[in-house]
Amino acid sequence: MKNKIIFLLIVVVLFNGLNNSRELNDIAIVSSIAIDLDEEDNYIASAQVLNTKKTGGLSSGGSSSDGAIINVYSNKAESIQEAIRNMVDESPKKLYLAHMKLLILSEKVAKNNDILDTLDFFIRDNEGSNKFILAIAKDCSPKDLISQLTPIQTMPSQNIISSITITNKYEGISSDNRFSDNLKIMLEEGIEPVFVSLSLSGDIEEGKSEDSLKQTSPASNIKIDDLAYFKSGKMIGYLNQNDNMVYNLMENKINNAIIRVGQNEERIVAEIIKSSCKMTPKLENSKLCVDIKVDLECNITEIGQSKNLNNKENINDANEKIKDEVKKYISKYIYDCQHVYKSDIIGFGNLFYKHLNKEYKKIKEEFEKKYFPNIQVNIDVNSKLPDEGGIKKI
Amino acid sequence: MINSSNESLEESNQKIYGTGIAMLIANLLFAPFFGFGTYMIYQESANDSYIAVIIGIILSILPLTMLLFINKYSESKSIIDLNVNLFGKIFGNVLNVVLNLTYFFCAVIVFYNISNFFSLNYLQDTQKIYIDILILLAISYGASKNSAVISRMSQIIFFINIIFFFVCQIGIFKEYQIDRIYPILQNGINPVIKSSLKYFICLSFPIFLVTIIPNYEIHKDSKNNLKISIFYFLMQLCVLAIVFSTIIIMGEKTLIMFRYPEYEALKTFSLFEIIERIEDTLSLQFLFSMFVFMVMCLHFIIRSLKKVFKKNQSENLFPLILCFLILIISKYSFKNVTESFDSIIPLILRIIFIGIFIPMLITFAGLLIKNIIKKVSIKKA
Repeated sequence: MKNKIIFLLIVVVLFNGLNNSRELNDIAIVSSIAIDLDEEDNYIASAQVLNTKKTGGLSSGGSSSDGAIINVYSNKAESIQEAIRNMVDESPKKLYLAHMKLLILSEKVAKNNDILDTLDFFIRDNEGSNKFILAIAKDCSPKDLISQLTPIQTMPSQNIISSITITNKYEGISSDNRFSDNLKIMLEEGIEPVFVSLSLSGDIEEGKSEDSLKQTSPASNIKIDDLAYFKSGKMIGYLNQNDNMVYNLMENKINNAIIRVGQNEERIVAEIIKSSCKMTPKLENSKLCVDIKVDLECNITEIGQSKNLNNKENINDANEKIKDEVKKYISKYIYDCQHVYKSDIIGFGNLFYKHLNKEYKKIKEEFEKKYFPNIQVNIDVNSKLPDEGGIKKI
Repeated sequence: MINSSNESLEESNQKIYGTGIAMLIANLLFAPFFGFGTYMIYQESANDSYIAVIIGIILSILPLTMLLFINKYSESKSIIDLNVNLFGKIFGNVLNVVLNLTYFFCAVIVFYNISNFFSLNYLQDTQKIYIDILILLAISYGASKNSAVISRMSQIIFFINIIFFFVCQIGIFKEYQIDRIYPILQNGINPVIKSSLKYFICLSFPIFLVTIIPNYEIHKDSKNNLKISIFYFLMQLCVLAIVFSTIIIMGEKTLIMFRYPEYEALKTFSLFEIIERIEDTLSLQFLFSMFVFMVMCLHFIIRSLKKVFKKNQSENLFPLILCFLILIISKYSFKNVTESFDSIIPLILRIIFIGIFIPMLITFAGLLIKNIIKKVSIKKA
């Protein structure tokens, strides 16, 4: 018994908390990181660190003298790891990335460097989270984006995440893919990734000050912008407006989206409440074809004065128009991908790789240039409107 | 009277129930799965690995049959005594030495795997030697106990593992994308067959560790074999479910990118979007099984050593000496993770095959021939 107690005491003394222990007071919780390049192609990493003194103080009556809700540290180095680690020169605490919610890359980084090469640190870092959202700073500096204070959500990065999620959920235009999902897409054969982009408007310097939050409209606004598309690991550009929605529709990531058919008094506005898209690759007379079947469930949310939905014929007519409109959107999106963007963000290559693997392997080398632009698609859209709504006529 | 009843109670406490031995086998089966077993399979057959596992499960009926046969006809002898009894002192002891050395090698490998995983994912800033000593202290304590205690410990671990298994599957369910199993058999059937053989060798042969427990230490029950078979296949199905879910979460390319893909898949765990990032806790299920495996390996070697050094005063030190040897060998044999994994992995299968499969096959054949001869002589008589 004595021996056991002595043994336990030795263990308790020698291995007390091990060397890995870290006190909460000694770590700086990073909520977002921005990566940019300088003129000499060095990485500029900026980290938005939560001011725990302030956030803790909010519930326990903290005063404004505690400083801003966030602090932004910035550093420059030849690698991202060095740039982030060297921030301890300025910050009194070591940066802790496990709660990082957002990673923003500048256009320059996305266009000049291979995306996997840039993200290598975040793939390897096992302390960090893989559930953050990767975004591109459109026409603005990523550091400015993470330095802005936001009015509705206390944490600025949480504010941006909520905006991205909400636009994806209710407009169907942004992508709330997490890093782990993006990584899978980046590594997959025959598919190119897209990332959400963020733009900044208004007085950027004023937006960094807490005074801007005291006004009814904030000095600066962060907007969820068009999706940025990539090709061979580098960013090429941004999708056009409706293509954002169709991208999500074809990826089965739409919860809600608005479709308008006609104008003014002829208009019919429908809200997609449920959608599913299935793509089937096939070979027709040795030509590559893809059957696209889209099923929609919509609600009519607004109609023009000259329209009425009193009888079944009119409802069917409206339904046909919605179908045609969606079909038009999809056709345009596919044409744009094949001829304008010239990037397989739809994942046609991936479809053939997965389902017609032997045939794909034969044409793999030439697929992108020779076959992808000429893939024929058969689009079949089915939409379902409720037979009768709550309001017959206004 | 009271004394004799206490003795019988004590005796019955020292005996293992059929369920206990079945759960011990289930844990042993799960041990080489994480880090080595599946890593080998994924590297060979990527997203077709689940097919390899299915074939491997079918093949693994053979070791189970061998185990049940050896248990049935071992006449309450441990494998060490049985080998000597069947093949005489010289050849029997050669077989025993081979078995012991192989299990010691397996213990070193599994220990290296545990310590490596701890140091990579749990305690990055802690010196590896601290982690190693802590793990080995627990293992040596476990190995110093008798088989009934080890069996009880393994029962507790089995229940923890099963709970963790179901919690994991519920938490990662929404990340499933069946589409990720495609393309099926893109490199033909050969890599799948190869990896199914690897699965068969790597994941089936640890179960022979229980042959060290003689039958008189197990409660007699006609359903023991049935229980062992049920738990054996139950655990095989769990392995299949984990492999399949890892494939449909990670996808073909990311699957082969990570050293511990199951751990990476657990990073997607989310229960009601409240409980997240608990992959460290959930992956303990793999480590617990490895712990049981190591304890059993040492137990096997200790019992063999006790046969050699009968009633030796220093036998209590065997677990500590073995742990010290494991520590030294793992420290000086494997210097770099990547190099070690790549150099050891092709070796493991050969060593397990030569060191466990062949001796067990010889024992099985010897026992079979002995039985046939016995039956023929009875018939003649």
